[in-house]
Amino acid sequence: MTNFLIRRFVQGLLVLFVSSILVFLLLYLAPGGPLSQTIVEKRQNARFPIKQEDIDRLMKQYDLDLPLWQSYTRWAFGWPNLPDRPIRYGVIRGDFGTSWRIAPNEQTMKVILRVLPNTLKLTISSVLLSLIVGVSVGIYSAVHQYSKMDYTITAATFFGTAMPVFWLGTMMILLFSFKFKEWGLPYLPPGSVNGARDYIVPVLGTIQANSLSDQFLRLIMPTITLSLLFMAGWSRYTRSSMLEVLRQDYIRTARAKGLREKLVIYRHALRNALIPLVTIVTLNLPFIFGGAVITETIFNWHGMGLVFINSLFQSDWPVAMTYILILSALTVASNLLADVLYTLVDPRIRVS
Amino acid sequence: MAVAELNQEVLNTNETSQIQVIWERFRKHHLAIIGLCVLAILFFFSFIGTSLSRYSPETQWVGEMYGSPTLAFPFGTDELGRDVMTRMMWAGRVSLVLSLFVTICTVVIGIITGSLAGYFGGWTDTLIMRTVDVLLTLPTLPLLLILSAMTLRGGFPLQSPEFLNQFFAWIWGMSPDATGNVMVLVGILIVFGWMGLARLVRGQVLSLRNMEYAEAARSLGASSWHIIIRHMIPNSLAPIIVAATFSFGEVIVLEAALSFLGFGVQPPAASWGSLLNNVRDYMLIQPWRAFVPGMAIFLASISYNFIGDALRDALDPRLKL
Repeated sequence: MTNFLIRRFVQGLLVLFVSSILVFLLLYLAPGGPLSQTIVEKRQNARFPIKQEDIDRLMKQYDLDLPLWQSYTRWAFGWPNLPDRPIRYGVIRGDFGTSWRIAPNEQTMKVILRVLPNTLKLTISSVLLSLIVGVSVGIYSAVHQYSKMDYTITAATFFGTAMPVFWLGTMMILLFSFKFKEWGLPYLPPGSVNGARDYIVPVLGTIQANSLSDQFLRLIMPTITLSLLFMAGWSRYTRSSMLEVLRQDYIRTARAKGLREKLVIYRHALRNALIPLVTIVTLNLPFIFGGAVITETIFNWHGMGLVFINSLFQSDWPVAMTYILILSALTVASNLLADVLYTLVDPRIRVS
Repeated sequence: MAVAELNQEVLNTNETSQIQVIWERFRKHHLAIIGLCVLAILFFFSFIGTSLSRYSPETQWVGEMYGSPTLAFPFGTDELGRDVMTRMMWAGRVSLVLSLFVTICTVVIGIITGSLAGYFGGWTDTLIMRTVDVLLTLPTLPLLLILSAMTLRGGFPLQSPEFLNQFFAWIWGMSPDATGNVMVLVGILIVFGWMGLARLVRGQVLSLRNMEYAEAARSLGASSWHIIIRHMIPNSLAPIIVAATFSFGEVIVLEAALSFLGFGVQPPAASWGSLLNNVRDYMLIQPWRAFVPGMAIFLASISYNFIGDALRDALDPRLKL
């Protein structure tokens, strides 16, 4: 067991190492080199045209003039230390490099972590919503298999998985923010984490900017948009897992003992049915973070995803690379966590 | 006598072919039939519609900007006075054909790599599957975004073959330059899209390679290639077809998501996703222009999903994907 986990851990580290090389190579994919965008823009500046020595200085500042392998080892491990160059600590010691454009010369990790609370707020509420809705809907359709409601739920999950989230978000803003406001119904504020000024919502009255109710109203639409896909997936999963468990002998035993149906379902069936769900939820966590890129863009939600998109628009590659590395690390970590949880939660599983 | 009667009966029943059996089972899924019809309509709209339309997607009707839906312009006109419906048709060609092409390529790559890994095992397997592992660790959407952001801005050193460019330029009615840009996106989607299929095919081949018929073929002196091509791949075709059908829908949505965020199909080319991106500034005055392309993406995606689900039941009832 411990051996298995250690092996998985080492494998995960190896995968991360290789993906860090790939992510670093991305930097050199841009036609004309990583700085091309910056140089083109500076060339267009008629008053202060960029000179070759300026380009050389920038190249040196960002370690772009070194041979590729040295540039990589300095970025990843902070080795070798070269004279007349700043000391690098390397990704391995938490130095992800500095931002080029978004927040010049600031640590990229700092730029991203600054907005982490907003992303966490969105992702945690999405996970909770998907779990609550997904699991309860899944239980219902498993217990009432082949009922009309079961078919309706199945169709609804198809809608959920096929729905392009960017379109859903846009339509929700159009309907719940603008049309509802036009019609005099209680509407939802269309974007941002916090409001800038107070506003009046019919029925609810005046909402103070940045108050708890303001934050809650602003959280509703992004959360629904982000969680729809996972709601659908997890409810399908709960349903099939529940159906599997309900066929087991111990459920028949529980029923034969004369236990109330509620007790059978919640005490005996559900507990066992949720075991595989734990793994799926853990494995899906990185996808929720990745999916937040779209949701945050639509709702102007100032989180990691939006910072990433902005870094792409401004060719701030170090920030973009850091974001991808964080998500890769999250993927590896969640795979490992899923392995651990699976063996912890399910005593039947013994890994040799 | 009884035996003779029975024989007569057996002889009189028509033999049903495999295809017929599959079709009979497929037909029972009403949603899949609806999905087939919807897809047929979408393809008809995009391919035949362009010849029926009176307008070209680039013609600007001066004085007709921001037009509401009328008989002459069923979906209105855009900010430059172009007919939105005609633009929807041409954009549909890009979305639909792109997803078809990308999926076919990923399926071919997935079959080749997956069957090599599964059949030969050893270091071939390790090499291919570890590559898959690493690629799957990188987050799909952000990775595709950064790749397009880097390559789409100023041409890409690797160009797709000329005949492909010309072929797609002809289908999409675009200039070769615009097609070249879209082909970069196609390339990125292919390079990062084959891993799931490779895993699927490898699993299939692993379970099939020790079957009796594979053993028999081997003992008759068949080469590995012969066994892979004649036995392994045809026998794992059912799950591959199902996965490919789901993939059509996924690629349509993925491409639309990239284009919506501004890193997919670039103007002057347009796909349903990029139409949705363009309309963001005019959404409040022309809400239907945001509704229509999104609805097309949604309909295409859900139709492929319904068809894939029905195919899964029809091709192999035991199959669980």
